[in-house]
Amino acid sequence: MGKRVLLWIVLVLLFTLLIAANGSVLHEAMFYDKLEGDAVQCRLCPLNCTIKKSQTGVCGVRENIGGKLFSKVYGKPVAIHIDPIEKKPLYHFLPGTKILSLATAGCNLRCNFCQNWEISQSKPDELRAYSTTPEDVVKMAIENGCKSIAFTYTEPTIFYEYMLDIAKLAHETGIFTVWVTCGYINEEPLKTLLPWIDAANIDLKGFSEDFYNTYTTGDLAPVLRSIELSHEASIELEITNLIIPGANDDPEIIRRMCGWLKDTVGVDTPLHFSRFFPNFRLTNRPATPEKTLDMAWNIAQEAGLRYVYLGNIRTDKEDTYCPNCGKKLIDRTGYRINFNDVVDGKCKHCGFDIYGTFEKP
Amino acid sequence: MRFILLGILTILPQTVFIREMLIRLQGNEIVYAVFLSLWLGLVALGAISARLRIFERLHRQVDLLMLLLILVILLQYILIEPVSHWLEPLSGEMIRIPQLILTALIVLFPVCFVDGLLFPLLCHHNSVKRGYLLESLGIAIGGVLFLPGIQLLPQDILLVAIVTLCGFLLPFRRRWLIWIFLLIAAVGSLFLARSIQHGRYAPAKWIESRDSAYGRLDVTEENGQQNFYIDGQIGGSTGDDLRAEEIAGFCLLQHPGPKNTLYIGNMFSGMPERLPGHVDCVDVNPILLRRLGVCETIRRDPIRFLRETDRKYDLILVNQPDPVTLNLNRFYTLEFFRLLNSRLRDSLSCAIVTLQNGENAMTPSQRVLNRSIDATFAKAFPGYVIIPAAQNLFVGSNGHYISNRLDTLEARLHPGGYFNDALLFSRLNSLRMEQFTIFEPGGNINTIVHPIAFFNGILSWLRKLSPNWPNLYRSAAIPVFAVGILLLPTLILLRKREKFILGTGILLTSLIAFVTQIVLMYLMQAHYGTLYLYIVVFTSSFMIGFAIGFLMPSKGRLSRDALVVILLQLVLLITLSLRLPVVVYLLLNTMIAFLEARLLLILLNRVRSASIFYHLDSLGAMLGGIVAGIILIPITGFQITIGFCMVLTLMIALIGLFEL
Repeated sequence: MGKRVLLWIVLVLLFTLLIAANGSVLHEAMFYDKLEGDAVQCRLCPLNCTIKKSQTGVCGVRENIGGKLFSKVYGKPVAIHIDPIEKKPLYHFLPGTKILSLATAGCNLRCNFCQNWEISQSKPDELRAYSTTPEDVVKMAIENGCKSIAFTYTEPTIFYEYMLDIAKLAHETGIFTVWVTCGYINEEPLKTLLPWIDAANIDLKGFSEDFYNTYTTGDLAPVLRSIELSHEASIELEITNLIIPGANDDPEIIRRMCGWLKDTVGVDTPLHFSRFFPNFRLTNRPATPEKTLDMAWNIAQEAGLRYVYLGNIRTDKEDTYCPNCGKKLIDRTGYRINFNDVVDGKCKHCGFDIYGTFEKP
Repeated sequence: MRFILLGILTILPQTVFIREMLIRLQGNEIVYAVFLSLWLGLVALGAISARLRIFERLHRQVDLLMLLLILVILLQYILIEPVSHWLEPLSGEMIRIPQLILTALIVLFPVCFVDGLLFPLLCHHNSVKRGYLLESLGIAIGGVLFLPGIQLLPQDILLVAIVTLCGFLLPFRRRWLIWIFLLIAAVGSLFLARSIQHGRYAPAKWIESRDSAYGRLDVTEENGQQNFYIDGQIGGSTGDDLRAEEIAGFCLLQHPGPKNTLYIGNMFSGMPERLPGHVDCVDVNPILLRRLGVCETIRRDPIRFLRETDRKYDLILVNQPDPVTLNLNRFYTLEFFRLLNSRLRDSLSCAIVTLQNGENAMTPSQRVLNRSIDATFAKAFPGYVIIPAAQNLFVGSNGHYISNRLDTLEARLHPGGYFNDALLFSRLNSLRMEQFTIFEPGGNINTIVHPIAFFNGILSWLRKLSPNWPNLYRSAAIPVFAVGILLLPTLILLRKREKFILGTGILLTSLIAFVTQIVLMYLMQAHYGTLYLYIVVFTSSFMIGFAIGFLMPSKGRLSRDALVVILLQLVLLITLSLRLPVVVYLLLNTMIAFLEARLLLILLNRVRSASIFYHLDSLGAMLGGIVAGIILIPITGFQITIGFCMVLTLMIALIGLFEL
């Protein structure tokens, strides 16, 4: 009799430990509805996945366990690095500073040209992850002299709860937060997140539904809505457009995109045209020719956009000029800031207000 | 004469089509096994169909059928591009295995079917043995014509010219009419095929192509940028200053002042002009070399050059594409790294090898690859460091100057350049370096005989197509071994059933011979990388060995001949890591085919139906090609594949002991 009781106690203890261990990995997700028969519907991104018991959504990181939706990647980043902020790219937000950048596995899109496919197209259990609480992340940023934390590399929306907790904690300690995203998120979670975000770079991958459907498995409309909402929230916003030869390099479409940006987010929002390199499944398409990038740059200039840059290429079109007096304000070589003549957010020469958040590094 | 022409009309399209398909699968040598297996299967189908009444009557129309074969060859050559393009995923995307097999099937079926149909029909007027001999002679002639011909002419012209000439030799009444018709067809097909193939890289414009013994280089242009495709795989583009600057920048921090540099790799990126002092650039392709004006160009296989030269270098930079093919794997083996080390001038000198990596995190397959190269590099160089980036730099030296410490390299930096402290920091900060400090020790050494990197390349390719495929793929070897193991007790149990024993014997004999041929082909490719050129000799030498074996009077015993095959396999196993002359691989291939024919002859004498014999022979060879080329060699390696063959050959010896 005594042995049986002992056995039961051991079993109960083991079970409790198991639950506790499991609880430390899994974190209940936000934005989902319970459906009939233990199924749930995720409301985080426009995919609105209906997820049956023991299954995950398209992102591969939000799992239905017993009729509740959990994030499998909370506190489990697979990449934490220190980058120059110019690498995000953010050219008008604390230029010349270091930024702590992190990502978890998974993504809600399946872009066949993904430049970070190692992370974004992997399942959480396929990659080596660090156990890092939001407190740890903020502490790392402070210890490494980073003024900001970036949620980047893959689509941060899929680790929404983790991102939100880090962002709240970062703001408490005076660390800025940066959201580098494809903008594929529903309105409600976006509106909840934006108050905790200081700057964002939204990847506008193309400007046609056809491109989005063929190359990304997503849609354009929700991305445009995210850009609008981010602009309305008055965060420091920059846009990146990766130009892929033969896919989204049609001058007419680029012209339409620039026109839409001008009308929606204004002429001051910086636009980065980025050079494509063969990657993931699109390994046999050549890198974007420099002249194609120049063509896009000229179109954006003609459209009246004030801050247009080229990225992933060695060029002189990575410097910032004053839209008023035309003088060079920030001279960049790669990720290096050679000089920065923006003083208190104004042109040192003519006093014109320069879009962005500037601070001496 | 007709048999000889049939031989030529077999070997030439087979060679040209297989080379074209290799380009479609971006140089992956899996193509050889898939393609040859399908070829055998479809030819067998044609031969079986000759027994059908509808085709049997055609034995009086063999000349017309041969003319049809010529036209089908020309037509299918035109169709390779549209068919593969039609079945391709999105332009520029990776090709999936089902697409490869479907393309091969559509391209091959008409040619192989007519080819297979013709042999039995021609045998209506001749003996099978004579037919075999003459067809093999034709295959040999085709091979002999192809080898020097390809040095002088582009392969499409060579194919069309020889095939058309074959048509001219057909004995029709109004020959001149046929000649005019053939000429129009030849010129038309050539024109059509070229214009279709040149549109392959649209919207980029095709500029030129050049075949070497190692593969093909295609050059395209778009918006002033030239793109270079090596074996159909994008190798790089001009104007890639960013990467060239970065790699050159890191290299120059690893030596206090290199005066003599050897550069092996993607020369279009603008790298050589960024290296100071005297620079030697080695490559096999003159298209690449003639674009370089800033260095001494050496047109030779880099490995051959390193073996033969007595020059010593301060810096050797190897910037090749990833080891996803056996040909490219040669530049990541222990043998190659040791060769690099032997060409370093002194303890300050260093060799640098680039390898693809995930910029921000490593996938499991990238981890396996990097661990393997890490272990291999460590074995070849007493001192080495890794500089992490989207392209990792493995830096090896016999001294202590090389470094991947941020502070050390910052102190060596020359101010004012594009390669600057911010870039250095972005690559070498403590968090980025951490992914290399967590490398598990004991990565597998990548050698010619154990091409870990190549096998990993296949798994990585499968992973990108579907994350669950690699595990499924790995487990594919299990049923192969299971069948192999279960065969032995089955044979013993059913030893009294002659039909089963005979059938198994024929099937196994063909399977073993073909597996051994594939092993020899891949092995030569792993050592030399020139299978692209020598595939024609490989297939023809096999056929010649087979024909000779088949024609010689049969006095052998099954178990004794099987033991000779085992002996040959043992020799192969012992000499695996030796770089034997190409001619030895070919001779071994001929010997295997010869012995296969001897074994089959003994079995043929016991089989009443030649049809059953032919089916089982083709089926065995087809199975062998698929099992060896797609499953056994890529998953288990050369040694286990040969071991597996030896066990199966022992079973043939056992069948002989059952007193057949």
